Amino acid sequence: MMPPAVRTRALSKRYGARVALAPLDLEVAAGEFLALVGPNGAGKSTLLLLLAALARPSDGQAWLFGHPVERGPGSSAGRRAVGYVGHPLIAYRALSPRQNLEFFGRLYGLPGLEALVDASLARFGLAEQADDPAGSLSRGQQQRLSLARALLHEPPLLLLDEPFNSLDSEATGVLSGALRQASRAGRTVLMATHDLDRARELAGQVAVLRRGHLALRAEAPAGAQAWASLYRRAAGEAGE
Amino acid sequence: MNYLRGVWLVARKDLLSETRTFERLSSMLFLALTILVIFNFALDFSRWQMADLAAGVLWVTLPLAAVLALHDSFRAEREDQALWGLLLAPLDESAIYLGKLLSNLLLLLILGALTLGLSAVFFNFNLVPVAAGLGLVVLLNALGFAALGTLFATLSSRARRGEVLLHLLLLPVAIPLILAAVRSTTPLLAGRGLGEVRPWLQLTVAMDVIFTTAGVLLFGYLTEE
Repeated sequence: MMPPAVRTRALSKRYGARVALAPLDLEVAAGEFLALVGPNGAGKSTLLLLLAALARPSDGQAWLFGHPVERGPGSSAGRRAVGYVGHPLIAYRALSPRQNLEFFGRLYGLPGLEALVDASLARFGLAEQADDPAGSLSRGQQQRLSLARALLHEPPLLLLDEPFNSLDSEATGVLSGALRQASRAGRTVLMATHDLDRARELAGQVAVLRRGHLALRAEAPAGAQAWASLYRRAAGEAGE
Repeated sequence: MNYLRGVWLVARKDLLSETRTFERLSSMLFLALTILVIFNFALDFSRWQMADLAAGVLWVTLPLAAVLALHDSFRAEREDQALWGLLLAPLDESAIYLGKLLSNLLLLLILGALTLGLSAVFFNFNLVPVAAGLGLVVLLNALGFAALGTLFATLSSRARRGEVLLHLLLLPVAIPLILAAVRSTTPLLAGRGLGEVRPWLQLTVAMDVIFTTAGVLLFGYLTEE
């Protein structure tokens, strides 16, 4: 039987006395698109950082496609499975989009890199800015570069932390299209977002986190009203 | 991914970034030049041995200029969390550290070569007969300084006043390295052979091994969120 794309057992994270993520048991099947929603400080970003092995859990364990999430020697199978897009650009401002993609592509040992980078730049509408410094790109273009980097090695799992933040409508369209395409291609997607409309449009499953706890895990309901009501019920007090 | 290829890719990326702006190299060289000019005007060459003066000035100049480059080597990684891209890749963390170390070492060696040349002009000594010995001293000390500096720059880059923290952490810990460099340089400039400075060179090699090993072992912990 195929292992779940994501599995956590009592996974938790504390920063001093503050609990960022309470012990969490979660399973996400391969090919699912899960929207992680919840108020600020709910633990969404922390969960994604833990799954990407960018933070070390205080307790518990996570597996991606059956491989334990860890850093250090022997962890490359798990790492190859992940494409991560976060708030920051995760690329070098001094280098151009082409140089950034070529650099990260070489780290993954991708064959036919030149053609792959050209195709990626064209796909994300960055061909014209391919040789400009990444620092000179607009926020929307930077986010597209971030997504191009995350998808370059065609990972089966995408971890997205507020990917639609501060995007203009053109960039939002490109990003939505790329995520739909990734989902149709069978990739598993975990997307943390405040944007319920976007989550409703893309996700088939929803998990609501509240103060570090999993408040709800369900099939995504149809209709904006049902989403809003589900979110209010799970996230608790008004205003959160 | 081949380990050594990973090290080289990280170093190559840093050097490529540097060639887009030459920010680090130019700031190091201007500081080094300024210090050398000031010492050249301040010191009375008739009262002191040239070898003592030049060794002291050289090893004040190199570490201070190097701190600038070391701090900036991690600024690009923390800005926009580019470092996460490295940590997400199927690359051993120690390869990232060694790649950063290698690029820093190459910059420090360029700084060392240019500072030696400028020192020869300002202090009026013939560099040719002592170039090989001094080159070895600069190489060994630059390696130790780059190893320690890369490690501390990883740590200080997380702090709000990272550059100040880097000075506070790096310079005191690097004092044995700097003292060994001065003790190696003075006899060489006075025309004595490498045999005379062998114990200092051995001490420097030992510190290089210790600092590099510490960096390889600790880098992963210092880059966790």
